Amino acid sequence: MQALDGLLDYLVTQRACPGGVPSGDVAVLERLFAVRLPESYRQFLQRCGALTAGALEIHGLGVPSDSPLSVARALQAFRHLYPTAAPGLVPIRLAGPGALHCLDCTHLSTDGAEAPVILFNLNNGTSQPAPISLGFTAYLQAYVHEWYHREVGLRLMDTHARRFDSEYLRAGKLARNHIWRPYRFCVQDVVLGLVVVRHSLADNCLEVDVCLTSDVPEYEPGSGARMTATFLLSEAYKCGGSMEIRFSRNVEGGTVPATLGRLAQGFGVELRHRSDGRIVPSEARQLFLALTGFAPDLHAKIMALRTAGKLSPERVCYSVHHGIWMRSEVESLVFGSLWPETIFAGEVVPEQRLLYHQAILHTRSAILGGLLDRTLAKRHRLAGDVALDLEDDTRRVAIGFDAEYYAKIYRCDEDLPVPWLDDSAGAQEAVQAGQPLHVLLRARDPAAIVPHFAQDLAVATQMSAAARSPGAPARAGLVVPRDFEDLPAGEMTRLRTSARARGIDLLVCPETVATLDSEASRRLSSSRIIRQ
Amino acid sequence: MDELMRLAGWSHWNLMTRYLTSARVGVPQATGKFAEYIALMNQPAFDLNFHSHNFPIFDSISTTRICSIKTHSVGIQETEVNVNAYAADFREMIGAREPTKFETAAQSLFAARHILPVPPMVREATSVDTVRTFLAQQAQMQVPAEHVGLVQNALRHSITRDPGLYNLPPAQLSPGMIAAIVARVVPI
Repeated sequence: MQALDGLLDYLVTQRACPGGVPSGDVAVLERLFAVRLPESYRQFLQRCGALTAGALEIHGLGVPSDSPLSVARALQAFRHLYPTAAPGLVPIRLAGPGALHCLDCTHLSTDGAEAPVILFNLNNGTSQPAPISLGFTAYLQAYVHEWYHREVGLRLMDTHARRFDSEYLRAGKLARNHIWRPYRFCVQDVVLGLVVVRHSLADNCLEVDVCLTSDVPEYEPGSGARMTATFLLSEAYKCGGSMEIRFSRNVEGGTVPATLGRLAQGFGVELRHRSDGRIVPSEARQLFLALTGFAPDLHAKIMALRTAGKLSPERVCYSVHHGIWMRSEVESLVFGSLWPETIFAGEVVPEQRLLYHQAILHTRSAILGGLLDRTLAKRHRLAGDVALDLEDDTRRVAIGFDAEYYAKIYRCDEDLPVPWLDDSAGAQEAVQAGQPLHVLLRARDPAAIVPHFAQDLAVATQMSAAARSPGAPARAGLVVPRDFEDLPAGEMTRLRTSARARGIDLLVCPETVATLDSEASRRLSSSRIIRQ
Repeated sequence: MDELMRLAGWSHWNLMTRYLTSARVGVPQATGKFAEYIALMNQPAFDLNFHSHNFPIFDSISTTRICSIKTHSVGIQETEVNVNAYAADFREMIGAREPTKFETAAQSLFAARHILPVPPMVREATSVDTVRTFLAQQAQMQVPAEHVGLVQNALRHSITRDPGLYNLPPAQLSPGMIAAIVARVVPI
């Protein structure tokens, strides 16, 4: 009870509550609703009444009877809606749409001091088996702690933002990395995270002065923390430091924020210096890789290349989050190229002719593969004759890469239409749901298409045969750039016929080698300058 | 910046309100049981008899009135009897019959005046006497709409015939006073 006393005193001094009510009122509440409340909640009602502190609102007494903070009103609504729910459930907080935190007074501790707090789902009328907290005191403590740090963080954010506005934004200046920079992350009108960061020249790490995240019900739980952690890690890489991240005393008293700790824990990454407010480089690397979400074999390959000193995992992660490469393209580059680091770092310049040509070839192929990935994933919908472009209307396509054949393997949980086929061959069947589609990537120069075509077809046939299993025919294809259509008509027909004869789909990408190369060159240049 | 703080520090209640009123793209409306819960939370009347504790005489209370809800069948055969039942209920509601139940109701309401939505006179009461007076003079009886006329007429006759049954002094009885009393029979 000592902890509770201190906490309630603090809330009273912060004027976060309307004021306590006489013990008689608490007894009336218990009698009216035929429930025995835990001593901790009774104390709360008698000292504070209810709690309204920013985002933290706890139902109670001492508020107008028509207030949404009235526990009597909440109990009335809850029991009307769920008359068969356990009679000992007392709603104490609406934690989001459909999420109600309730005291479970049917499971009072033996001394009657505490009752567990559980999560009740208003939409389906079920409660989560494991309690959120074992007692009201611990529950209140956790939320008040979070609220306190949120208030401190918001005030500090305000100060930083005002200073940044006057010194940089209004002056039309860009802030250098070692200056405190405030960032706000929003989706539409909802804030997911607020941070203030700077690169510490003295310690060669990223310093964080404000780190606030919010869980928005429309998004997966932990999205705010995920996005904020991704930003911090990307910033730590971009600024050129050691990848260490240090949180100032203003961030939860100089510790790694609890939300980030939970996020790391969820990924199985142990943050050993949490209480010191530090994420050390090795932990940052692991977390960055986990957040980027590479497939396990790609993850393992990246780590193996790192051990061999051939690849920096942070660079790969950053190039994905910076939008230079998609994850599926990274897979092609890591598995398909002998020197992926030269591509991710953009180290090779055109003057190094052969090396550059090698890098361009792989980059071009990865881009061609990426185009095919996106085209396969995109659903095409028509309203009459008009094509509809719907946001996030994509298929769930699992994409793999076969380094032996330099081919992509696609699987989808719905029928998958094959794009870029020759219309003259008539309507082509889609790949059935669950069946694989193997596509050989051959982003050859125009002059190299014809000489290598027969060999490419042979490899595609071999790949198809190897992938075939009883009852599961493997569909195989060969993708070439649009330069194929510049071939003489007779030659083009001959190549198409030979592909058809072998049962290989010939996919002609709408982009030419020149276009792919210019995109490859742009990405290599971008890769060169991403780290400051 | 205030906007930023508002957005970042949104309270769950504000968030819910946004859910209910916002028509912005990407912000879903409250639906299903959650919407029902919000509606129930905002309902002005409080159901006194819903909980395991049975509140005597009265069934519903809000910041404007307290009501006893009664329904008796008034079929052709039983009209007289049941209208009398309504009249007896009315007497009980104003404390002229079964005084113990009335007293318990008054005491319970006085004790719960800071917890339940109650009319201002009850909320500000310093003794149970005020609550007794309020109940006797202002409590309403809700009956099915088609019974209102029947019950009002029966009450009017009954009060005129025997005002003592309603704790009314015969000498001071006026048509206006009778009209005010029968007007407390209202439709559900």
